[in-house]
Amino acid sequence: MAADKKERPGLRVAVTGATGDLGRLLLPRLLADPGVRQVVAIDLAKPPDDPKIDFHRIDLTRHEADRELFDALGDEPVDALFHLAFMWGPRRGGHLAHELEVMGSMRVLEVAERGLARRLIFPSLTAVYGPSPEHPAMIREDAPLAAAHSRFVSDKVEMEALVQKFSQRHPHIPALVLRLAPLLGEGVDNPATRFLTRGWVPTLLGFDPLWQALHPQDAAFALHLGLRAQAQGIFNIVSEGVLPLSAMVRLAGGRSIPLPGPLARGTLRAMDAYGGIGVPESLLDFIHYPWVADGSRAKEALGFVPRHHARDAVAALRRS
Amino acid sequence: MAKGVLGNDPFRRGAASRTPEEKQPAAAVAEKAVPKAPPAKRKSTAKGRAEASLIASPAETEIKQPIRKKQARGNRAGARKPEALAVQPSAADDTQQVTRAIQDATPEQPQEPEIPVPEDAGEDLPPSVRHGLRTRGAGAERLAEAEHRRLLKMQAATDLDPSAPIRPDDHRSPLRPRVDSAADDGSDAEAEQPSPRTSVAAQDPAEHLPPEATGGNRTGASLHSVAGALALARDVAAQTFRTDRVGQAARVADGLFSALMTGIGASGSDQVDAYGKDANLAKKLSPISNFFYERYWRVTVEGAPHVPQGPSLLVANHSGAIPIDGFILHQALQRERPDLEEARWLAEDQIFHAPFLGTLYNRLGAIRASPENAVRLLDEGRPVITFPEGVHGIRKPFQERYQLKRLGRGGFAKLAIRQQVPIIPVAIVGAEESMPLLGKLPGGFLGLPYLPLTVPPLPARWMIRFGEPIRMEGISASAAEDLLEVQRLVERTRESIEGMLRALLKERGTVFGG
Repeated sequence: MAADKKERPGLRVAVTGATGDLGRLLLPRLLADPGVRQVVAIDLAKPPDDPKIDFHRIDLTRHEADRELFDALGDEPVDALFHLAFMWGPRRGGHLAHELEVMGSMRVLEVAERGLARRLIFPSLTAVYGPSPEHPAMIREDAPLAAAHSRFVSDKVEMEALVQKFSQRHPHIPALVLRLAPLLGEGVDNPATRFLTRGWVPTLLGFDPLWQALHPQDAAFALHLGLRAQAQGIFNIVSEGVLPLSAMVRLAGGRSIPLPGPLARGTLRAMDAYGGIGVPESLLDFIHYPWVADGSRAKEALGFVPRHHARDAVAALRRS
Repeated sequence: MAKGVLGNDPFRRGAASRTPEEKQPAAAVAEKAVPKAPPAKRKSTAKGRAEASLIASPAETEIKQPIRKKQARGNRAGARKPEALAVQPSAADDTQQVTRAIQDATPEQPQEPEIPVPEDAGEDLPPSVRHGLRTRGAGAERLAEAEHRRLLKMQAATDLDPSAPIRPDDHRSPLRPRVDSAADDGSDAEAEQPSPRTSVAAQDPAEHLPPEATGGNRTGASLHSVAGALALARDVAAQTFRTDRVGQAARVADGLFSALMTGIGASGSDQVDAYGKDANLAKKLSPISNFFYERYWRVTVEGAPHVPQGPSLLVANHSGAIPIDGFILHQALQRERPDLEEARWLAEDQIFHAPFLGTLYNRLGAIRASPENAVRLLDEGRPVITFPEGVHGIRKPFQERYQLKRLGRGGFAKLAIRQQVPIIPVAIVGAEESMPLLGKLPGGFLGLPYLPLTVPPLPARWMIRFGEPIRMEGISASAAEDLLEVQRLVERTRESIEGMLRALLKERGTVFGG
């Protein structure tokens, strides 16, 4: 089924979480894209005014959300649905995040199941692989995901499982999952940026795992590619190059303080509890073992060639 | 270019890194400019000497900062006097600071090299040449004058108060007084210092700045004494670092420091390849690794031509309480077969995930041993170094040295069959004796199976022999599942390595000699 090859003036695209970190990056590109006729923006906050935008205020965590979504999308199906309504930064009370990320995704999939979306694009994280001593030097998309980790990761894993099931039932509706490396950039809020933008960053003594990063422009580029991509499935979206954590901290303008294991754990817990800025203790494993994802599938199948090195992404973080 | 002794900020650009070779071209320039303004030299020499005793007063400690750069040249000649040379290079701190001073001063007048010459040298030249020289000197003088005026203003502002803040951009200020004292010591010893070392200094024009001290711009004797002392100290440092040994020591210290910082995870490089190898670190460590490779362990390599172009699986015996055989074998390949793709070695989990060591090894080129990683490396056409014995090879007690343990579960053979790459058996002799495993201490607190009890590396002679390649001819890729075929390949490899080990041990006369 040629979903995006209809004889129509342009594509009609829906974006949930249009004012979130990723939504803010993608929206200008969609608006500038002459092939896009209309953008149905779904969020709680109002996106900037634009004649192309059709804004609907829908709270995906409420149970009426599915009905509201049907109303918002109207009678004709959208050509693509970007489900970007995720909480990238951990919040107090993982319950809300779980409701939004897992249940929200479920509602979006319901909409697609009723034939209201011809293509689905979901963002995920390379963190779903989890930090593990067993990882290969570069993790491919078919690697097993972290079984049980922090809420932040496990919600994404659960969401991916839902998408997986959906794809099996509806192979004709392309569903793309973009596993993004930690997004670093101006105004971006996630555990990685919170961790790296501190003046003093606790690290583990004797360990300096390789990290990846993603420049906001590359993230937007990858999402935009998802709109017309021929391929479907899971893609690692990573920057070019890797950096040892300590180099990343240094480039971000901080100083890494290598602490012996137990002390680092305590420090992270204290930062989480008293710092008030969520840097989860579960991050410890991410500063212990490498978790470098292989971006070659995205390069070959999606045509995503990162334009920025991990260094540039960290530099973008520093500028902010 | 190597970094300063300590490798951290304040000393980063230390002259320790400047090798004598780098200075040679400049020295050649200097030769042309030899006959230059000898009278000025004579004058300032006298002055420098007279003023050497003044320099330690606290008020001057403060001024000398600003005037250092240009005014120092006024007393250049005096500074270059042998008195400078009496300072002991052992004062590593001082020499470091002085070195910085040199570095700062040198770029300013690179095209005005000068050398002390016999007083009458200038008279022999045709007038035109002499004129040319003088005009250049005059230009420098004007420059110096402007600078001098600026400094005087600054001096007035601070009113010679020793506690007054020094220029904010000058982070070296706390170090100054010590330089002075060094220079002061030196002045006493002037008489008994022989001149040959002065001539060494003369080869390096970088330290010799133009003689603008014609008397016109001198205002305060104190300024000059300080400047003289500084120039003198600068030369001392230059002398010190000219000697290869100190420079070498500085580079070694720098290499060790970077390795330490990298190992603890405090200063990873931002220039690593996709697997985490930091080429700069390897370069920095090269004085150390070269020393161990060439002089300490005297590694001899045989059969390196056996390694074919393209992907290959090198299978070696594993030994040493702290396994360095992977790194040395990788070095050997780099030296003997620079035509090959860069080899990588696979490190077992216990090493790869060990704190400090694993991190350092990863930056030096080790990759976690896993079939997936090996395939990736082979696909890139690299020789891949494996130690199928794994941790069993390095865990065996010293009395079992050179006894090959089980070669894992034959994973390497399966891999070679599946990827259709040749296996090159490698025997390494010497690693067992250089780091014998004497005992095992509990290492659970570090996440290690045990902490090896060993000695600092001993100077055993190393021998590496590459065997005949075992090619996969007649073995189809599907045979990887055929346990018999795999076992046969493992046995062949094992026999080859054992045979080479026996031969090498027989050839080796004594463990440490030869």
